[in-house]
Amino acid sequence: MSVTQIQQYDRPSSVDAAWQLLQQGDGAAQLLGGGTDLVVRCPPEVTALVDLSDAGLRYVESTTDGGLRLGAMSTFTDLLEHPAVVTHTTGVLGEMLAQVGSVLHRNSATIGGHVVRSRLSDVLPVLLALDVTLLLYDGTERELGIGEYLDGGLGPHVVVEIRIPPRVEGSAAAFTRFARTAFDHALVNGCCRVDVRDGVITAARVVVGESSAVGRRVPPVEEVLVGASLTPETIDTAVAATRRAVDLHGDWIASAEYRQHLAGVVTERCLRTVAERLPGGGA
Amino acid sequence: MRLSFTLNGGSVETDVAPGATLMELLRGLGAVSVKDGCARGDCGSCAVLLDGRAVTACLLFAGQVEGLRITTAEGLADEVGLHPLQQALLEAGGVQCGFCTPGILMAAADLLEREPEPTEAQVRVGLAGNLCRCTGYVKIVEAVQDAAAMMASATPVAEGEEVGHG
Repeated sequence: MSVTQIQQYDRPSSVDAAWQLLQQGDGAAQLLGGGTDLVVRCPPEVTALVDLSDAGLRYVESTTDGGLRLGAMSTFTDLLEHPAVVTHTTGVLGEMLAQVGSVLHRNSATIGGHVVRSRLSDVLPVLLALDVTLLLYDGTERELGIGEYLDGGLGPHVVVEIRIPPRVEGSAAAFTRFARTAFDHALVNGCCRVDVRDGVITAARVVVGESSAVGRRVPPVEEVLVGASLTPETIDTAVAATRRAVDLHGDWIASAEYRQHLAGVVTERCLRTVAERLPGGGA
Repeated sequence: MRLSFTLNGGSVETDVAPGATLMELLRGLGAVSVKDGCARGDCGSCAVLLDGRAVTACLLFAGQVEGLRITTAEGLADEVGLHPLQQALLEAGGVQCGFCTPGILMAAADLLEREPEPTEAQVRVGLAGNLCRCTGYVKIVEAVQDAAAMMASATPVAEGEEVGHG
């Protein structure tokens, strides 16, 4: 159904032009990516749309060091069909993207729009685990870590690019989600990445998300992992630490206790998969 | 606002409200195969092909299709006859009330364009965004695979040609 309060619709041909339009009307203008969320949840104060389709932000580039630069207007399908994206860090991005919504959604939802809306996300836990940074534009360009970005508090800005660092040698990652049906929002999801050198974990990222939140790193679990080997015993310890550390909500779909239990399940499944994907494999 | 795009092979230039969805625009132009089921991207009955990819027309603003190519179920059949997907759905009993059928056709057309010989699992993934409350999906899945077989045995269509019976 029409978003009836919209009175103006622009398709600027550059990021700077988009940002200039965003400045107009003191919050009345809203950037438009794929539209899949904005059409049904357009804030009532928004009366102007700034469509980024012509701003040159639909691209995927590999950097010389093995990183990736994803233009904010790249659709999930664009990413899922790009070999360098789906194979990055033991395939965790491809694993996750294939589980986001349906094909109908993946064909139009954009990675930039998803980051900006920051809700009901299977994507953000993986971006957090990969230490992704964002290229923002608010009159000048600047780079910001995804975790800091999700903390909020930013003024008007355009998300230009999602920057995925090169894979750390000896690293592996895995994503999993638990939902009532394949198409439903995840009750709990999670992503784990570990970097291993000489059999010892040198860095770890453990992220747990739930259906009404965007996912957060769980530092106490990461501390359990760093310095250890990824053995079944280490995984058991990490699972127990996850259930102690996360504070998930309860609602009509699932109780807090159930989600708390699932958080451990998700961490266990991710870490077991990570162990299989590490060079030499097998926890 | 003024908008230009291609609909089922024909050029369209029209005025549209800035906040209108693609679903409203297409239905207003007579493409009533684009069904208004849920208007929030849950049911897939409004699916159309946008530059060859199936999308939910209810979740796009009309302005997003400027300069693009849209195919609806009205654009599948040609003067020769039904599209193999339409024929297969009829023959397999994959149509009951028919409300979801146009959206399923478009999602399946997208799938077969990229995966000409899909497995049952691939069909089910390809149609995961389309709800049918009548058939239970078994006949629909069979029909998509039947259509794939029909298309494989037909004369190849030139690259870039509009989706159609061929």
